[in-house]
Amino acid sequence: MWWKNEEDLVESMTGTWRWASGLAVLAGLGVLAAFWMIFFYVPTEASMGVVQRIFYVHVPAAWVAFMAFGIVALCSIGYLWLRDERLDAISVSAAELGVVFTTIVLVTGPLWGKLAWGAWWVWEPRLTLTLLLWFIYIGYFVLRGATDNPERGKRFAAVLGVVGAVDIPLIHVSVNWFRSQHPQAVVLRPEGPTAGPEIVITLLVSLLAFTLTFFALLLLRYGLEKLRCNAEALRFAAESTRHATPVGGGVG
Amino acid sequence: MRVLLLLLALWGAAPHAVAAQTSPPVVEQIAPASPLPTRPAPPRTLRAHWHVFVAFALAWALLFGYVLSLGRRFARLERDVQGMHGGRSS
Amino acid sequence: MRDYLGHVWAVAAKDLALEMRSRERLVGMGTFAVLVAVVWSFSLDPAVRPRSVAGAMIWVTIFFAGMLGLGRSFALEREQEALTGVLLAPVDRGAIFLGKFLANLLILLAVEALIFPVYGLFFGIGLGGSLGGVALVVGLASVGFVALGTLFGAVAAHTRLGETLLPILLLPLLIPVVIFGVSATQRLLIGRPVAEVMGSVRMLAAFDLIYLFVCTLAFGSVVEE
Repeated sequence: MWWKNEEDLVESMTGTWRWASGLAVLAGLGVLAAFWMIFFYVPTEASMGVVQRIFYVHVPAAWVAFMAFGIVALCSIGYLWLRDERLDAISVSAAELGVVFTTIVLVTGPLWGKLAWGAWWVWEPRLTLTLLLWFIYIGYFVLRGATDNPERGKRFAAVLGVVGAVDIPLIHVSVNWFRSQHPQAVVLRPEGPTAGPEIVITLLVSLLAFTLTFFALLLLRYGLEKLRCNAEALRFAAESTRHATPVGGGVG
Repeated sequence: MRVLLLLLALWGAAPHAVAAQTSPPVVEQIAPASPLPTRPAPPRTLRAHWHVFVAFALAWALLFGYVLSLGRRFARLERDVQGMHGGRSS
Repeated sequence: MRDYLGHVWAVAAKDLALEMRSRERLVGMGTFAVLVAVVWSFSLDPAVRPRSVAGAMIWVTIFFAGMLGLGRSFALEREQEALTGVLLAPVDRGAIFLGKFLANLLILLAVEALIFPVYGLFFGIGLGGSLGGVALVVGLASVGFVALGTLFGAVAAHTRLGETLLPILLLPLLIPVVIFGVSATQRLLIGRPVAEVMGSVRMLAAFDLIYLFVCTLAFGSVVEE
């Protein structure tokens, strides 16, 4: 158990809430600023037109998704080593957010690609890597859901997190090599030759807003996980007293 | 009668089927899996605006949906814990 | 070191002896592979020359047949509670993993030795005059595949979903092996020289070492209780 008693839990939850709400306020401000900049401040990019604005959501979401996977990997290694329940709680929370943000990347990418490449989906290296990342995240949750013993589920998920973390760079190298086998047009980058300072600034603000949102949600989800473990422990205690009562001949 | 009809239908269909099987020429090389056009399509403005709108709407719908699901899970936990405390005290 | 290798071989020999007695995995995987060849022959458009997709056909068959066998590898142990016995022995967990890995690899290589002649016969695929090159590429790709497969086979066997879970966990992680293994095999099968795929061979060897190292370490966390 990560808390000694009820007071300790309440105290740590209050701390989590305080941080989460502070971050949420900051994230809200950041998102508003980013929105204003995306729609009113930044000029429409010359070669791609208005679709390019999708990038201000797409790129930050991708950055956050990969950062989430980094957190899952680090906490998984830490969990296998130290067996600290808190590290597992952070892993689950980060992985869940990773699914959300990877989904955003996979939804916004094709909407841009349909206009820029003329196809909803192309096997472009970064797109492929994100898709595989999404599948690894999905496997992470299917695996957790499919184990009856919660301790074992955490261990298995951590193993997947570690192996996935080692594998993601290898996948990256491979898909890049695979593409280089088939000469293609250079994929247009958001900060291509036409990227003015406004575009870069807007992208940075959007990155910051997404990162803040991620950490605010991460803290909320972490608090939820803590409460869930507490509820589980309470239920376990209630069950064991109920089972123990007839044997002990009435405890109360 | 039914057999006759069936035969007629087969007789009608068979030459087409054979023709369909033999007609495609033998392709010598593998077609590239997904050719990227060398140049981006010209920005079609109305369509482009629609895509931008859908992208932002979906992204924020996903995020808000996640926040809502967090809230629901909190509420359910709260209820469970309350129920357990109530059960214990009574 | 000698002891360690002895333990590895003991675990592998146990699995292989079991397999030689029942032959259930070899028969299952081999029959499956040949049946998939039949399915391929009917699902390919007659306009497509089998040679131009030989690498893809063969590797898809190997991966699916392999997953069939890897799923069984630990399911057997679990059904008979045999793994508990193995784990009680004073043997390093890494040695147990390497032993299971070796047994699975040898079984897969045996099935591959069947797959290549069968596909050669059915689809007229020659080995491009470089049997050694093909064997090297297929062997290296199989090592990476079986290393990951043995680890996640052990994981999947201890879940409610069992063997159903294995492909979900394994396939996304397997992409590097797929990319380099399939493309190198394809090149060799259409008669390109071995020197042309040496880059892929080196990559595959590097991946194998990484996978073996990580999976051997991670296996200890999977089976502990």
